Amino acid sequence: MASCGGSGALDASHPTTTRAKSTTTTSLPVSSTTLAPTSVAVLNAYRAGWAAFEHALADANPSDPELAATMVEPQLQNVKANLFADKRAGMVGRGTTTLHPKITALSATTATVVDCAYSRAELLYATTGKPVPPVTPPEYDGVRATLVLSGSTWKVSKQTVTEGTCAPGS
Amino acid sequence: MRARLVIPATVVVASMCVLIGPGRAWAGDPDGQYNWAGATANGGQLTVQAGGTYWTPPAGSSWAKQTESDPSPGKPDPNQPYGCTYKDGGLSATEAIGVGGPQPGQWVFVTCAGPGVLNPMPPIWVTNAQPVAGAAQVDPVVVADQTIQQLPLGSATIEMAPPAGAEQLVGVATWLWIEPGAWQTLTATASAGTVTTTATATPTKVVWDMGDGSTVTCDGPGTPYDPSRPNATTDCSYTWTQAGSYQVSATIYWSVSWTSVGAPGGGNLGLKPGPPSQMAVRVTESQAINTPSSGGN
Repeated sequence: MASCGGSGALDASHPTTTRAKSTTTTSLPVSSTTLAPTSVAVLNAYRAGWAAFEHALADANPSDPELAATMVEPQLQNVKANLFADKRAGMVGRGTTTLHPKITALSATTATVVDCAYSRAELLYATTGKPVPPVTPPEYDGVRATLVLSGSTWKVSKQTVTEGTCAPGS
Repeated sequence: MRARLVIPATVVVASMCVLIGPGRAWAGDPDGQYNWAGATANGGQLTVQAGGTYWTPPAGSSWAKQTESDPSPGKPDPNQPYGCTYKDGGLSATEAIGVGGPQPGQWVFVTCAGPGVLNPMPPIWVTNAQPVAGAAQVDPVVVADQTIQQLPLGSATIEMAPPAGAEQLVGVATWLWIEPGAWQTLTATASAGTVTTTATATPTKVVWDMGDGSTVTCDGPGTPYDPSRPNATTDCSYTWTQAGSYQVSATIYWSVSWTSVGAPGGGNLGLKPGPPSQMAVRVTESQAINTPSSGGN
């Protein structure tokens, strides 16, 4: 499972102080004062994927068009399957996730993003609005996402979340 | 419970591995993450493959029946640590999620009980799924389409008063009706394999096109005119305002529904028109038929 952070990563929250190491798997600049347009696009796409998920989760809608606009297979179907299962169980989602994404690898068509995301999203019973047990407090989750260039748009193709596995600020 | 963008790896791998060990996870993609791996079903028997591991519910545990389950929690089995029930998602799941693997297949929803399990579990794509042992894979919708085509939605004879062969008069209401025998519920049945569907068509209204740009909608077949009851009334009539020759047509609209036996299916298909019936009529200006009152007595 991916760790949160690590050297050589571009941190979207601190774009003016970032220094990236050059590796054989990336085309990131060795030194820069601002994020390259491609990096900005990747991070925006990563955030858009989360936003689409949260939007669809609000009513557990696997047909939400924002999903296909921000994700490709297999991630798209994974998300749809989970949303359909939630909907079938009478559950919807509430809450947001605060992101701190960093790019750890970037090529012309593929990017890897890691995150230590602060999750406040919870599942609720749609009819009562009560949380689905077990009720869990907000926590920092490790995220590792792969994005691909689909046409001219970066989209999330795979994403794993490991609950409670990273430290804030990592 | 935390909303899942994907199945948290801690649930599938960490929690379950406490009991079943690495490689025994319910499913795992090559990265050991969240994807359910291949699953097949034959005669109601489900087999889930997670990497190189196959996991099979006990014999007689039909994935299509939610009441069936594998051993309950607390009765450990190396391959079956949790009590789980299965239910197929039907066409709606495939439409919403998409095709998840080789076809024919279906999404199957699993509900488990055991340490670390967070329901609802993500569905798994089951290939070669056969809900009933030996049953052919017949799509009830296809059978229903064939059944509906067999419904004898024929046209009905147009009737009028004054009679259709006579001239109609401007300003005088013409009674409209169709032959009463055409107003009855129709059914048709067709079978394929173990699936039998029945389609039902119930007449709901007749739409009359009067040929002059006007339409009349009658909620029933109309009332036949009876000369022996001159005071009778009708709720299905029309009064032309201009003389001329017109092509009148009447179309029966049917409320069509279908049911299925042997496979889930059925529903209301809404209103469907039958073939229209047509008739040419001639409308003339009415002549004065009342003499001045001064002419009487």
